[in-house]
Amino acid sequence: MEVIRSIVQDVNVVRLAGDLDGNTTPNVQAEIMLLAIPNVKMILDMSEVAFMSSAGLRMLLVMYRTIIGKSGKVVLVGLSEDIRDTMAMTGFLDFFTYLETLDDGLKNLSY
Amino acid sequence: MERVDAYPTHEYQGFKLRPGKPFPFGTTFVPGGVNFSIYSSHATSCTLVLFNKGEPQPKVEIPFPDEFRIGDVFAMIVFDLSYENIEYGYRMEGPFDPQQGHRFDSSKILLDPYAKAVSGRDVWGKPPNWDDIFLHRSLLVFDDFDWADDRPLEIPMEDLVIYEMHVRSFTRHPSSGVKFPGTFAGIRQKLPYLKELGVNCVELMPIYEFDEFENSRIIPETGETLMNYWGYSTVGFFAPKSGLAATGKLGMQVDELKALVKELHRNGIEVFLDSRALTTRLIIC
Repeated sequence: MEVIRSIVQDVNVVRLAGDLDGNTTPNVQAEIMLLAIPNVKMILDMSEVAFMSSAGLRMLLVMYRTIIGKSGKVVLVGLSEDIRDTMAMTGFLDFFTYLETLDDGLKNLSY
Repeated sequence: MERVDAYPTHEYQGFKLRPGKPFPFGTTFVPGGVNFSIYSSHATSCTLVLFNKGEPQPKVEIPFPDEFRIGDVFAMIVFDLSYENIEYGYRMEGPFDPQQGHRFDSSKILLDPYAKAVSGRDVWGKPPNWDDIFLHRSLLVFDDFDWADDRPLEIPMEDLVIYEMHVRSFTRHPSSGVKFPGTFAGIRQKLPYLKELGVNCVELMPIYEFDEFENSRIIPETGETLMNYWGYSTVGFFAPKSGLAATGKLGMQVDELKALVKELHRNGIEVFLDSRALTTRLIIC
């Protein structure tokens, strides 16, 4: 699992590439949490994540709760249909703003 | 402050252990490990059997040391398990004396009666490998669902308009128009329909893990397999049936069911579960 970080405008963009499961989640979570500072704006680009397990879903929700708790904002982009369905069926998607593309995410966070 | 009980005290074939907590029964995540707890008033010893998911043979069988037994409860913490990749069961030693109601047979691996999820029937009607030495395997489940402000609605009984439904039948037919027919997720998609009917309560027919192949048989004339469709023969009373969940093959049936209940409540619909404790395939040790 690769975690590629960049800053576009004032938004932290985190691109994940690979499978997000019980083995890869702890490292990904540790990297993302480094960015979870007060008022952070973050986009999680999932367009290169092919599979996400229960551990991955939980990591997303922990990240969401942490960022929201620090008055930040987080947007998911690039969810595959399978992952979006899984998140919807298990209730995890209800917590998130999710958009199709990175540009959509940047526009959303620029308001 | 770090807890002392986050550290192992024993080791068995490279697995780090310490005496567990007797309560709650079943499995519980604790710092660094998983607490396994199982009750038996007549077993003389117990062995925890761990499998890597889907593997035909166990990765390890860990006997509970005598000092890990408190009264009639065997309790052990196993550290550093890759929880998503583990299936487990128990071997129980004890008397074989049917006249006295004892049928201990440690050659059999037993499902944890407190398992929160069970693998082996992940997709409805998909025949298992009948040569498997352990057909219904206990899974580890995080008990951390985010219920937010959900509460039971407690609608007065006299005001209830109840729709009794079979989870599979309710949306199995293509005319239901749902993306995942015959599942908990399918019901969720039919919420507008239920509200349109004026329903404020659904009663779900058995949703606990059962074996649709129990007593199954083939009709010679048609070749069709008849199965236990209704589910009145529970295998695991604390586990939602994975074959009724679209995410069952991913082991996420618990989240899918909880998400359905939460969404029904949010839409003003109470949830009742049809439960019959006397119809079971469980063997009580």
